[in-house]
Amino acid sequence: MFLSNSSLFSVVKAQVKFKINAYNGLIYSLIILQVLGILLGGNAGSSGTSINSTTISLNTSTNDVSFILVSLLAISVGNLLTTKAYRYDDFSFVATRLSSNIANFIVLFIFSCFAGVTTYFSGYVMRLILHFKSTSEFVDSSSIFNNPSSFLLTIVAIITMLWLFSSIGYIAGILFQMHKLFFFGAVVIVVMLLMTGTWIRISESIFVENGSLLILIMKVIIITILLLATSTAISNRLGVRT
Amino acid sequence: MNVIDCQKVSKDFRRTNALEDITFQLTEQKITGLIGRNGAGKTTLLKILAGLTKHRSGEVNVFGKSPYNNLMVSENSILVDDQMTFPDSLTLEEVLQSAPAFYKRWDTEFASRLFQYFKLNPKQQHSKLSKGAKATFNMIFGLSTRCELTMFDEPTNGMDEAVRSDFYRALLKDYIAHPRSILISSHHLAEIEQLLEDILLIHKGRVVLHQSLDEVKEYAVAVQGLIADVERWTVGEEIIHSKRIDDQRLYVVVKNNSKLERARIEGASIQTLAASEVCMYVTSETKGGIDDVFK
Repeated sequence: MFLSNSSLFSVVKAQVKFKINAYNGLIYSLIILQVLGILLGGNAGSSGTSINSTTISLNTSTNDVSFILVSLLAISVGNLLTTKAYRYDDFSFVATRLSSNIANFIVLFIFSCFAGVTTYFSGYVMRLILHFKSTSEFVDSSSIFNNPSSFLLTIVAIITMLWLFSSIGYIAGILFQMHKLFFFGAVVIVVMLLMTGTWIRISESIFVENGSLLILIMKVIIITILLLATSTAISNRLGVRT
Repeated sequence: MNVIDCQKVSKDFRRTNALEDITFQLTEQKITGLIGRNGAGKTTLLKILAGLTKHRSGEVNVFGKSPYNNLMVSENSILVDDQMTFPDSLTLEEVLQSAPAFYKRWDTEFASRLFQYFKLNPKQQHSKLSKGAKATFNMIFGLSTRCELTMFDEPTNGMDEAVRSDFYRALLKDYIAHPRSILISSHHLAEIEQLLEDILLIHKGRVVLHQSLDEVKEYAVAVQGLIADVERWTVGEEIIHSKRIDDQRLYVVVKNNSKLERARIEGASIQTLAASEVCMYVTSETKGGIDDVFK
């Protein structure tokens, strides 16, 4: 009797490759949302003033809209990977619950990287459009060349935030798959906690009061890993093809 | 080494017991038929063996390991059933192309030859296939993995007559070329009888028989004759099934034993049974039959 015996690493690698290949259709959703973000964020606010005969109008544009839309996508993709159809697909091939979960986290991270980088650069696309479209004399913004390290940090921050959002979608999905009541129970608990003063303080100290972007990134990564580890632990009893 | 070793395995769903004290061993390189009526627990047992669901109590070992969440078991076993799914974003061709990364013994050549023979469309998605075509594709997938333990749960559901007989032939030829342990569940024993070496008969979540096909055939015989005679011949015997043929004659299925020789001398008509009949009578709920409903 010949039994093959692969390592967890090689199975996860095969699963990640397979998933990237199978889920690459999600890129269309990303493109649509980013185009929508550019259209909506292209004219976020305007103010004007006039001195004597000179009129100054100030138009601000932002890719925050893109970021919010892509964050929502991240939550829904995280949730999508926990649905029956996606979980069962893994078990038609070689998989354990652990390898499936790890592969999902890596896939979510890779997608977050892709979405983060493109969302950041969609801001540049927006500026380019503004150059041609608007009658503005002068378009100014901070650019990569002004401050390369802050540019890199911003991209990493976007990526980790997207990864965090996808992991929130993931754990919510796992809870929902375990039992619908778990999911609603968790939602109620989270909302109640958020209304208490202590938790507002805690979340402020995590997300708002940060000396630098780097500290925020570290915190976000730790929270994400905690969420994903919890998801793995609770999904360990989820049956397949039941 | 035993491929499967189950000791007192139980599993329940909410209120019903799906499996109760299942104990059996499966040795290497045999085709075993998992036979039982609807709801006997065949699917549940296969899912536990494939590591898809967890049993409640007892001990399950596949290749010496507990199958639930075991990578080695997942790599060397496959369960083919009608609930197998593949991503909608991939075509059948792409599904077959991604398999070798997972199954080390995947036979690409064999898979594509079967695929062409059964005239499946390589550009189609798995979920869009008809019931029969889906079963055919799953079967191709399962055979091509060449897993040491290959399990089929009602594999021919939805297949037409021609595909069915092709499937059985393909299974047998491939088994001869690449011997491995195959467990195939069905409630049509007569249809798969020619493939099987062993039969594992389960009923109401319990193992009733686990014997070779020949032993199962000899397990019981039918005695037929005048009511008084038959009752006299079979007194003290374990009656598995009895049926009134008409007002005067009785048909009784009893466990085979040497005492029946006397009955034979006295002119009893003793008939051997097909394996499927033995299984059917052994697992029948009542001593009578459907005719009793109409009395």
